[in-house]
Amino acid sequence: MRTSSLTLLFATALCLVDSSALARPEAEPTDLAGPRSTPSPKANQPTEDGTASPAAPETYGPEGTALLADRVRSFQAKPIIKRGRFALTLLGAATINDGFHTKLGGSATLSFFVHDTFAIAVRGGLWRVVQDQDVQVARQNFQLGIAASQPQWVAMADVEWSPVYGKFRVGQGITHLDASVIVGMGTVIHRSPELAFEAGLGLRFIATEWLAVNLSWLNTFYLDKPLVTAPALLQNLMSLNLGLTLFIPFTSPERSKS
Amino acid sequence: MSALVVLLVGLAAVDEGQLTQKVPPVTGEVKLANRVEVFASAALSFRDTFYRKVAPALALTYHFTDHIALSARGAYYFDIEATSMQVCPALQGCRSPTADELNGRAPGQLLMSLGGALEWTPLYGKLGVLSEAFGRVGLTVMLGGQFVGYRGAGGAFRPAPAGEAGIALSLWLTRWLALRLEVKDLIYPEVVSVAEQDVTQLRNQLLAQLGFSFFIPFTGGSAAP
Repeated sequence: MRTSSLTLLFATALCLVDSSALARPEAEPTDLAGPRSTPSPKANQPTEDGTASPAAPETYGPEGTALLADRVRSFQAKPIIKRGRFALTLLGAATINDGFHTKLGGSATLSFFVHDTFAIAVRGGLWRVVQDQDVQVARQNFQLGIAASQPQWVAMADVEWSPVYGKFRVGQGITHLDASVIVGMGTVIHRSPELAFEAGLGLRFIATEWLAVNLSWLNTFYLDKPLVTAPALLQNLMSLNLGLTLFIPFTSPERSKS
Repeated sequence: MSALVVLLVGLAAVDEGQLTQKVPPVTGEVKLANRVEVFASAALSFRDTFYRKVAPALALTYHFTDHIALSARGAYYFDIEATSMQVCPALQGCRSPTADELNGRAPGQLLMSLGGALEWTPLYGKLGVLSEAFGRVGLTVMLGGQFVGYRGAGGAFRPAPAGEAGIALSLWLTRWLALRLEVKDLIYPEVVSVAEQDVTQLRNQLLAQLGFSFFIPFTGGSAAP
Protein backbone atom coordinates (compact mmCIF):
# COMPACT_ATOMS: atom_id res chain seq x y z
CA MET A 1 0.00 0.00 0.00
CA ARG A 2 2.83 2.35 0.90
CA THR A 3 4.59 1.52 -2.35
CA SER A 4 1.43 2.22 -4.29
CA SER A 5 1.04 5.63 -2.64
CA LEU A 6 4.58 6.52 -3.53
CA THR A 7 3.96 5.41 -7.10
CA LEU A 8 0.85 7.58 -7.24
CA LEU A 9 2.67 10.62 -5.88
CA PHE A 10 5.51 10.08 -8.32
CA ALA A 11 3.15 9.77 -11.27
CA THR A 12 1.23 12.88 -10.22
CA ALA A 13 4.43 14.85 -9.82
CA LEU A 14 5.59 13.74 -13.25
CA CYS A 15 2.34 14.89 -14.79
CA LEU A 16 2.54 18.28 -13.09
CA VAL A 17 6.12 18.82 -14.14
CA ASP A 18 5.26 17.88 -17.71
CA SER A 19 2.21 20.13 -17.76
CA SER A 20 4.07 23.09 -16.36
CA ALA A 21 6.69 22.67 -19.03
CA LEU A 22 4.03 22.70 -21.71
CA ALA A 23 2.30 25.65 -20.13
CA ARG A 24 5.33 27.82 -20.79
CA PRO A 25 4.38 29.76 -23.89
CA GLU A 26 7.92 29.76 -25.22
CA ALA A 27 8.77 26.14 -24.55
CA GLU A 28 11.56 25.36 -26.95
CA PRO A 29 10.35 23.18 -29.76
CA THR A 30 12.44 20.33 -30.95
CA ASP A 31 14.99 22.07 -33.09
CA LEU A 32 16.77 19.96 -35.61
CA ALA A 33 18.24 22.83 -37.55
CA GLY A 34 20.48 24.25 -34.86
CA PRO A 35 20.38 26.60 -31.88
CA ARG A 36 18.40 29.82 -31.85
CA SER A 37 16.88 32.22 -29.41
CA THR A 38 13.23 33.20 -29.35
CA PRO A 39 11.58 36.34 -28.05
CA SER A 40 10.73 36.21 -24.37
CA PRO A 41 7.01 36.32 -23.66
CA LYS A 42 7.70 39.01 -21.08
CA ALA A 43 9.55 41.26 -23.47
CA ASN A 44 8.07 44.74 -23.63
CA GLN A 45 5.55 43.95 -20.89
CA PRO A 46 5.22 46.65 -18.26
CA THR A 47 7.16 46.06 -15.10
CA GLU A 48 5.80 46.82 -11.66
CA ASP A 49 6.88 50.47 -11.90
CA GLY A 50 4.98 50.83 -15.15
CA THR A 51 7.93 51.01 -17.51
CA ALA A 52 8.46 48.61 -20.33
CA SER A 53 11.16 46.03 -19.93
CA PRO A 54 13.68 45.87 -22.74
CA ALA A 55 12.89 43.48 -25.53
CA ALA A 56 14.78 40.24 -25.53
CA PRO A 57 17.27 39.95 -28.37
CA GLU A 58 16.03 37.86 -31.21
CA THR A 59 18.17 36.03 -33.67
CA TYR A 60 17.09 33.99 -36.60
CA GLY A 61 19.16 31.74 -38.72
CA PRO A 62 19.02 31.77 -42.49
CA GLU A 63 16.57 28.92 -42.15
CA GLY A 64 14.22 31.07 -40.08
CA THR A 65 11.12 29.95 -41.89
CA ALA A 66 12.01 26.32 -41.46
CA LEU A 67 12.57 26.85 -37.76
CA LEU A 68 9.08 28.20 -37.39
CA ALA A 69 7.55 25.27 -39.19
CA ASP A 70 7.40 23.19 -36.04
CA ARG A 71 5.09 25.68 -34.34
CA VAL A 72 1.38 25.09 -34.30
CA ARG A 73 -0.41 27.20 -36.89
CA SER A 74 -3.61 28.93 -35.93
CA PHE A 75 -6.51 29.23 -38.32
CA GLN A 76 -9.51 31.49 -37.95
CA ALA A 77 -12.89 30.51 -39.20
CA LYS A 78 -13.74 32.01 -42.58
CA PRO A 79 -16.34 34.75 -42.19
CA ILE A 80 -18.13 33.54 -45.29
CA ILE A 81 -18.83 30.17 -46.89
CA LYS A 82 -19.63 30.42 -50.59
CA ARG A 83 -20.24 26.77 -51.45
CA GLY A 84 -23.79 26.20 -52.65
CA ARG A 85 -24.58 29.90 -52.94
CA PHE A 86 -25.27 32.25 -55.81
CA ALA A 87 -23.52 35.58 -56.21
CA LEU A 88 -24.75 38.59 -58.13
CA THR A 89 -21.93 40.97 -59.04
CA LEU A 90 -22.46 44.44 -60.48
CA LEU A 91 -19.36 46.09 -61.93
CA GLY A 92 -18.39 49.38 -63.47
CA ALA A 93 -15.49 49.16 -65.93
CA ALA A 94 -12.97 51.26 -67.83
CA THR A 95 -10.38 50.10 -70.33
CA ILE A 96 -6.71 50.72 -69.59
CA ASN A 97 -4.96 49.78 -72.82
CA ASP A 98 -6.24 52.17 -75.49
CA GLY A 99 -4.90 55.70 -75.33
CA PHE A 100 -6.99 56.95 -78.23
CA HIS A 101 -10.37 55.69 -77.07
CA THR A 102 -11.53 55.13 -73.52
CA LYS A 103 -14.20 52.52 -73.25
CA LEU A 104 -16.54 52.82 -70.29
CA GLY A 105 -18.99 50.15 -69.37
CA GLY A 106 -20.79 48.05 -66.85
CA SER A 107 -21.65 44.42 -66.38
CA ALA A 108 -23.70 42.04 -64.26
CA THR A 109 -22.46 38.56 -63.36
CA LEU A 110 -24.45 35.69 -61.92
CA SER A 111 -22.24 33.03 -60.34
CA PHE A 112 -22.88 29.73 -58.63
CA PHE A 113 -20.25 28.38 -56.25
CA VAL A 114 -19.94 24.66 -56.85
CA HIS A 115 -17.17 24.66 -54.28
CA ASP A 116 -15.95 27.33 -51.91
CA THR A 117 -13.13 28.11 -54.32
CA PHE A 118 -14.75 27.29 -57.64
CA ALA A 119 -17.66 28.96 -59.40
CA ILE A 120 -19.33 28.97 -62.79
CA ALA A 121 -20.74 32.25 -64.04
CA VAL A 122 -22.49 34.08 -66.83
CA ARG A 123 -21.74 37.74 -67.46
CA GLY A 124 -23.41 40.34 -69.60
CA GLY A 125 -22.21 43.88 -70.12
CA LEU A 126 -22.23 46.94 -72.31
CA TRP A 127 -19.51 49.27 -73.56
CA ARG A 128 -19.54 52.87 -74.72
CA VAL A 129 -16.56 54.48 -76.48
CA VAL A 130 -15.22 57.93 -75.59
CA GLN A 131 -12.66 59.61 -77.85
CA ASP A 132 -9.52 61.00 -76.16
CA GLN A 133 -7.56 64.18 -76.89
CA ASP A 134 -4.72 62.40 -78.69
CA VAL A 135 -7.01 61.49 -81.57
CA GLN A 136 -7.12 65.15 -82.58
CA VAL A 137 -3.33 65.45 -82.29
CA ALA A 138 -2.86 62.34 -84.39
CA ARG A 139 -5.25 63.49 -87.09
CA GLN A 140 -3.79 66.99 -87.28
CA ASN A 141 -0.12 66.02 -87.23
CA PHE A 142 -0.08 62.73 -89.11
CA GLN A 143 -1.78 61.12 -92.02
CA LEU A 144 -2.85 58.07 -90.19
CA GLY A 145 -5.38 55.41 -89.61
CA ILE A 146 -6.41 54.48 -86.12
CA ALA A 147 -7.96 51.06 -85.92
CA ALA A 148 -10.79 51.73 -83.52
CA SER A 149 -13.08 48.93 -82.52
CA GLN A 150 -16.50 49.91 -81.23
CA PRO A 151 -17.73 47.10 -78.99
CA GLN A 152 -21.30 47.51 -77.82
CA TRP A 153 -22.24 44.41 -75.85
CA VAL A 154 -20.48 41.46 -74.33
CA ALA A 155 -21.85 38.11 -73.11
CA MET A 156 -19.51 35.57 -71.54
CA ALA A 157 -19.58 32.24 -69.73
CA ASP A 158 -16.82 32.12 -67.13
CA VAL A 159 -15.28 29.83 -64.58
CA GLU A 160 -13.69 31.28 -61.48
CA TRP A 161 -11.11 29.61 -59.28
CA SER A 162 -9.96 31.18 -56.02
CA PRO A 163 -6.70 29.60 -54.89
CA VAL A 164 -5.67 32.56 -52.73
CA TYR A 165 -7.33 33.45 -49.47
CA GLY A 166 -6.11 36.12 -47.12
CA LYS A 167 -6.84 38.60 -44.42
CA PHE A 168 -5.84 42.20 -43.93
CA ARG A 169 -5.59 44.36 -40.88
CA VAL A 170 -7.53 47.56 -41.47
CA GLY A 171 -7.27 49.86 -38.48
CA GLN A 172 -8.30 47.70 -35.55
CA GLY A 173 -10.33 45.29 -37.66
CA ILE A 174 -9.61 42.35 -39.93
CA THR A 175 -10.86 42.18 -43.51
CA HIS A 176 -10.86 38.89 -45.40
CA LEU A 177 -10.39 38.55 -49.12
CA ASP A 178 -9.96 35.99 -51.81
CA ALA A 179 -8.16 36.27 -55.11
CA SER A 180 -9.35 34.41 -58.14
CA VAL A 181 -8.43 33.50 -61.68
CA ILE A 182 -11.18 33.96 -64.26
CA VAL A 183 -11.33 32.42 -67.73
CA GLY A 184 -14.22 32.26 -70.12
CA MET A 185 -15.55 32.47 -73.63
CA GLY A 186 -18.52 34.09 -75.29
CA THR A 187 -19.24 36.86 -77.72
CA VAL A 188 -18.53 40.55 -78.24
CA ILE A 189 -21.04 42.41 -80.35
CA HIS A 190 -20.01 45.50 -82.33
CA ARG A 191 -21.29 45.35 -85.90
CA SER A 192 -21.90 41.63 -85.62
CA PRO A 193 -21.35 39.04 -82.88
CA GLU A 194 -17.77 37.78 -82.75
CA LEU A 195 -16.30 34.88 -80.81
CA ALA A 196 -14.44 36.18 -77.77
CA PHE A 197 -12.28 34.81 -75.01
CA GLU A 198 -11.62 36.23 -71.61
CA ALA A 199 -8.98 35.91 -68.89
CA GLY A 200 -8.51 37.89 -65.74
CA LEU A 201 -7.78 38.21 -62.07
CA GLY A 202 -10.17 39.22 -59.32
CA LEU A 203 -10.02 40.37 -55.73
CA ARG A 204 -13.04 40.05 -53.48
CA PHE A 205 -12.96 41.91 -50.15
CA ILE A 206 -15.48 40.39 -47.77
CA ALA A 207 -17.58 43.02 -46.03
CA THR A 208 -20.30 40.86 -44.48
CA GLU A 209 -21.55 37.29 -44.92
CA TRP A 210 -23.65 38.46 -47.86
CA LEU A 211 -21.75 41.43 -49.29
CA ALA A 212 -18.30 41.89 -50.81
CA VAL A 213 -16.40 44.56 -52.73
CA ASN A 214 -15.07 43.29 -56.02
CA LEU A 215 -12.03 44.53 -57.95
CA SER A 216 -10.96 42.74 -61.09
CA TRP A 217 -8.73 43.02 -64.11
CA LEU A 218 -10.18 41.44 -67.23
CA ASN A 219 -8.84 41.06 -70.72
CA THR A 220 -11.42 40.21 -73.36
CA PHE A 221 -10.00 39.53 -76.79
CA TYR A 222 -11.85 39.05 -80.05
CA LEU A 223 -11.39 39.44 -83.78
CA ASP A 224 -12.73 42.66 -85.28
CA LYS A 225 -13.36 42.63 -89.02
CA PRO A 226 -13.05 46.18 -90.38
CA LEU A 227 -15.50 47.28 -93.03
CA VAL A 228 -12.96 48.12 -95.71
CA THR A 229 -9.75 46.24 -95.11
CA ALA A 230 -9.67 42.50 -95.51
CA PRO A 231 -7.62 41.24 -92.58
CA ALA A 232 -9.34 40.97 -89.23
CA LEU A 233 -7.62 42.60 -86.28
CA LEU A 234 -7.23 41.08 -82.85
CA GLN A 235 -8.73 43.47 -80.30
CA ASN A 236 -8.02 43.55 -76.60
CA LEU A 237 -10.47 45.01 -74.15
CA MET A 238 -8.28 45.28 -71.08
CA SER A 239 -10.33 46.69 -68.27
CA LEU A 240 -10.38 47.47 -64.58
CA ASN A 241 -13.68 46.61 -62.93
CA LEU A 242 -14.97 47.73 -59.57
CA GLY A 243 -18.26 46.82 -57.94
CA LEU A 244 -20.24 44.91 -55.37
CA THR A 245 -21.06 41.23 -54.94
CA LEU A 246 -24.27 40.11 -53.26
CA PHE A 247 -24.38 36.51 -52.01
CA ILE A 248 -27.70 34.65 -52.17
CA PRO A 249 -28.97 33.28 -49.85
CA PHE A 250 -27.77 35.84 -47.36
CA THR A 251 -26.53 33.19 -44.94
CA SER A 252 -24.58 30.13 -45.92
CA PRO A 253 -26.53 26.85 -45.93
CA GLU A 254 -23.27 25.07 -45.09
CA ARG A 255 -22.85 27.11 -41.92
CA SER A 256 -26.48 26.55 -40.99
CA LYS A 257 -25.92 22.78 -41.18
CA SER A 258 -22.94 22.95 -38.84
CA MET B 1 -4.64 2.02 -7.23
CA SER B 2 -3.19 1.23 -10.62
CA ALA B 3 -6.45 2.35 -12.16
CA LEU B 4 -6.12 5.66 -10.30
CA VAL B 5 -2.62 6.13 -11.70
CA VAL B 6 -3.88 5.41 -15.21
CA LEU B 7 -6.69 7.93 -14.65
CA LEU B 8 -4.27 10.61 -13.48
CA VAL B 9 -1.94 10.00 -16.38
CA GLY B 10 -4.93 10.16 -18.73
CA LEU B 11 -6.08 13.44 -17.21
CA ALA B 12 -2.60 14.82 -17.63
CA ALA B 13 -2.64 13.75 -21.26
CA VAL B 14 -5.92 15.62 -21.77
CA ASP B 15 -4.37 18.61 -20.07
CA GLU B 16 -1.40 18.39 -22.40
CA GLY B 17 -3.75 18.48 -25.35
CA GLN B 18 -5.39 21.63 -24.08
CA LEU B 19 -2.09 23.24 -23.28
CA THR B 20 -0.82 22.50 -26.75
CA GLN B 21 -3.46 24.93 -28.02
CA LYS B 22 -1.69 27.66 -26.09
CA VAL B 23 1.47 27.52 -28.15
CA PRO B 24 1.78 30.94 -29.79
CA PRO B 25 0.57 30.92 -33.39
CA VAL B 26 2.87 31.79 -36.24
CA THR B 27 2.04 35.44 -36.54
CA GLY B 28 3.52 38.90 -36.16
CA GLU B 29 4.42 41.42 -38.78
CA VAL B 30 7.37 42.98 -40.46
CA LYS B 31 8.08 46.23 -38.70
CA LEU B 32 8.84 49.21 -40.91
CA ALA B 33 9.27 52.04 -38.42
CA ASN B 34 12.67 53.75 -38.56
CA ARG B 35 13.83 51.64 -41.47
CA VAL B 36 15.08 52.72 -44.88
CA GLU B 37 13.69 51.07 -47.98
CA VAL B 38 15.60 50.96 -51.24
CA PHE B 39 13.28 50.15 -54.14
CA ALA B 40 14.98 49.22 -57.41
CA SER B 41 12.54 48.63 -60.20
CA ALA B 42 11.62 48.73 -63.85
CA ALA B 43 8.63 50.75 -64.99
CA LEU B 44 6.48 50.03 -68.01
CA SER B 45 3.90 52.46 -69.29
CA PHE B 46 0.46 51.48 -70.46
CA ARG B 47 -2.45 53.11 -72.28
CA ASP B 48 0.03 54.86 -74.57
CA THR B 49 -0.76 56.47 -77.87
CA PHE B 50 2.52 57.43 -79.53
CA TYR B 51 5.30 56.21 -77.23
CA ARG B 52 5.65 53.26 -74.92
CA LYS B 53 8.06 53.90 -72.07
CA VAL B 54 10.43 51.55 -70.31
CA ALA B 55 12.26 53.01 -67.34
CA PRO B 56 14.75 51.88 -64.72
CA ALA B 57 13.71 53.56 -61.49
CA LEU B 58 15.04 53.98 -57.99
CA ALA B 59 13.29 55.11 -54.81
CA LEU B 60 14.68 55.75 -51.36
CA THR B 61 12.08 55.68 -48.60
CA TYR B 62 12.28 56.43 -44.91
CA HIS B 63 9.56 54.88 -42.78
CA PHE B 64 8.69 57.16 -39.87
CA THR B 65 6.20 54.64 -38.50
CA ASP B 66 4.81 51.31 -39.69
CA HIS B 67 2.25 53.24 -41.70
CA ILE B 68 3.78 56.57 -42.78
CA ALA B 69 6.83 57.06 -44.98
CA LEU B 70 8.46 59.64 -47.23
CA SER B 71 10.24 58.70 -50.42
CA ALA B 72 12.54 60.31 -52.95
CA ARG B 73 12.35 58.77 -56.37
CA GLY B 74 13.61 59.10 -59.89
CA ALA B 75 13.39 57.37 -63.25
CA TYR B 76 14.90 57.65 -66.70
CA TYR B 77 12.61 56.74 -69.60
CA PHE B 78 13.41 55.02 -72.86
CA ASP B 79 10.72 55.85 -75.40
CA ILE B 80 9.70 53.25 -77.94
CA GLU B 81 7.33 54.02 -80.79
CA ALA B 82 3.92 52.58 -79.97
CA THR B 83 2.10 50.48 -82.50
CA SER B 84 -1.40 51.60 -81.68
CA MET B 85 -1.60 53.78 -84.78
CA GLN B 86 -0.63 53.46 -88.42
CA VAL B 87 0.55 56.22 -90.72
CA CYS B 88 -0.74 55.97 -94.26
CA PRO B 89 1.30 58.21 -96.61
CA ALA B 90 -0.17 58.82 -100.06
CA LEU B 91 0.46 56.02 -102.55
CA GLN B 92 2.08 53.90 -99.82
CA GLY B 93 0.76 51.21 -97.59
CA CYS B 94 -0.06 51.88 -93.95
CA ARG B 95 2.74 51.22 -91.47
CA SER B 96 3.85 52.07 -87.95
CA PRO B 97 5.42 55.56 -87.69
CA THR B 98 9.18 55.89 -87.46
CA ALA B 99 11.04 57.64 -84.66
CA ASP B 100 11.90 60.57 -86.94
CA GLU B 101 8.26 61.05 -87.89
CA LEU B 102 7.16 61.14 -84.26
CA ASN B 103 10.05 63.11 -82.76
CA GLY B 104 8.88 66.60 -81.75
CA ARG B 105 5.44 66.12 -83.30
CA ALA B 106 3.90 63.49 -81.03
CA PRO B 107 3.18 64.08 -77.35
CA GLY B 108 4.12 61.79 -74.50
CA GLN B 109 7.86 61.60 -75.14
CA LEU B 110 8.79 61.44 -71.48
CA LEU B 111 12.50 61.47 -70.64
CA MET B 112 12.94 61.64 -66.87
CA SER B 113 11.17 62.22 -63.58
CA LEU B 114 12.50 63.21 -60.18
CA GLY B 115 10.56 63.92 -57.01
CA GLY B 116 9.12 62.65 -53.79
CA ALA B 117 6.00 61.06 -52.38
CA LEU B 118 4.21 60.64 -49.10
CA GLU B 119 3.32 57.01 -48.51
CA TRP B 120 0.60 55.59 -46.30
CA THR B 121 0.31 51.88 -45.62
CA PRO B 122 -3.14 51.25 -44.13
CA LEU B 123 -3.37 47.55 -44.98
CA TYR B 124 -1.18 44.72 -43.81
CA GLY B 125 -2.15 41.10 -44.16
CA LYS B 126 -1.48 37.49 -44.91
CA LEU B 127 -2.34 35.58 -48.05
CA GLY B 128 -2.58 31.82 -48.26
CA VAL B 129 -2.27 29.95 -51.56
CA LEU B 130 -4.18 26.65 -51.54
CA SER B 131 -3.84 26.72 -47.73
CA GLU B 132 -0.24 25.64 -48.19
CA ALA B 133 1.96 28.65 -48.87
CA PHE B 134 1.59 31.86 -46.92
CA GLY B 135 2.86 35.32 -47.69
CA ARG B 136 2.73 38.66 -45.97
CA VAL B 137 1.59 41.63 -48.00
CA GLY B 138 1.10 45.34 -47.48
CA LEU B 139 -0.87 47.84 -49.49
CA THR B 140 0.44 51.39 -49.76
CA VAL B 141 -1.16 54.55 -51.10
CA MET B 142 1.23 57.14 -52.57
CA LEU B 143 0.76 60.82 -53.27
CA GLY B 144 3.60 63.00 -54.45
CA GLY B 145 5.07 65.71 -56.61
CA GLN B 146 7.70 65.43 -59.29
CA PHE B 147 9.56 67.34 -61.92
CA VAL B 148 9.44 65.67 -65.30
CA GLY B 149 11.38 66.32 -68.46
CA TYR B 150 9.95 65.56 -71.87
CA ARG B 151 10.76 66.21 -75.50
CA GLY B 152 8.21 68.73 -76.64
CA ALA B 153 7.33 70.60 -79.77
CA GLY B 154 10.30 70.87 -82.12
CA GLY B 155 12.21 68.20 -80.21
CA ALA B 156 13.32 70.52 -77.41
CA PHE B 157 13.72 69.33 -73.82
CA ARG B 158 11.04 70.83 -71.58
CA PRO B 159 10.69 70.55 -67.81
CA ALA B 160 7.29 70.51 -66.09
CA PRO B 161 5.88 70.02 -62.59
CA ALA B 162 3.91 66.84 -62.11
CA GLY B 163 1.62 65.22 -59.62
CA GLU B 164 1.75 61.55 -58.85
CA ALA B 165 -0.81 59.22 -57.30
CA GLY B 166 -0.67 55.47 -57.02
CA ILE B 167 -0.87 52.31 -55.01
CA ALA B 168 1.77 49.72 -54.21
CA LEU B 169 1.54 46.11 -53.18
CA SER B 170 4.49 44.60 -51.29
CA LEU B 171 4.99 40.89 -50.83
CA TRP B 172 7.62 40.18 -48.21
CA LEU B 173 9.98 37.39 -49.16
CA THR B 174 12.17 37.77 -46.09
CA ARG B 175 12.37 40.24 -43.23
CA TRP B 176 14.50 42.58 -45.37
CA LEU B 177 13.41 41.82 -48.93
CA ALA B 178 10.07 42.37 -50.63
CA LEU B 179 8.68 42.14 -54.12
CA ARG B 180 6.85 45.38 -54.83
CA LEU B 181 4.41 46.34 -57.56
CA GLU B 182 3.41 49.96 -58.04
CA VAL B 183 0.66 51.24 -60.30
CA LYS B 184 0.53 55.00 -60.61
CA ASP B 185 -0.56 57.94 -62.65
CA LEU B 186 1.93 60.71 -63.43
CA ILE B 187 -0.01 63.84 -64.36
CA TYR B 188 1.71 66.82 -65.93
CA PRO B 189 1.00 69.70 -68.32
CA GLU B 190 2.57 69.22 -71.71
CA VAL B 191 2.99 71.70 -74.51
CA VAL B 192 1.90 69.92 -77.69
CA SER B 193 2.22 71.10 -81.23
CA VAL B 194 -1.11 70.67 -82.98
CA ALA B 195 -1.25 71.84 -86.60
CA GLU B 196 1.82 74.03 -86.02
CA GLN B 197 0.33 75.70 -82.95
CA ASP B 198 1.46 75.08 -79.36
CA VAL B 199 -1.31 73.87 -77.10
CA THR B 200 -0.99 72.92 -73.43
CA GLN B 201 -2.62 69.62 -72.56
CA LEU B 202 -2.84 67.71 -69.32
CA ARG B 203 -1.23 64.31 -69.79
CA ASN B 204 -1.94 61.21 -67.73
CA GLN B 205 0.97 58.84 -67.86
CA LEU B 206 0.01 55.46 -66.42
CA LEU B 207 2.89 53.33 -65.20
CA ALA B 208 3.28 49.86 -63.74
CA GLN B 209 6.48 49.43 -61.79
CA LEU B 210 7.86 46.10 -60.56
CA GLY B 211 10.97 45.57 -58.48
CA PHE B 212 12.57 44.58 -55.23
CA SER B 213 12.61 46.51 -51.97
CA PHE B 214 15.52 46.15 -49.60
CA PHE B 215 14.97 47.19 -45.99
CA ILE B 216 17.80 48.57 -43.87
CA PRO B 217 18.56 47.59 -41.16
CA PHE B 218 17.98 44.02 -42.20
CA THR B 219 16.27 42.98 -38.97
CA GLY B 220 12.80 44.09 -37.93
CA GLY B 221 9.54 42.56 -36.93
CA SER B 222 8.32 40.03 -34.44
CA ALA B 223 8.28 36.99 -36.68
CA ALA B 224 9.86 35.89 -39.90
CA PRO B 225 7.53 36.12 -42.89
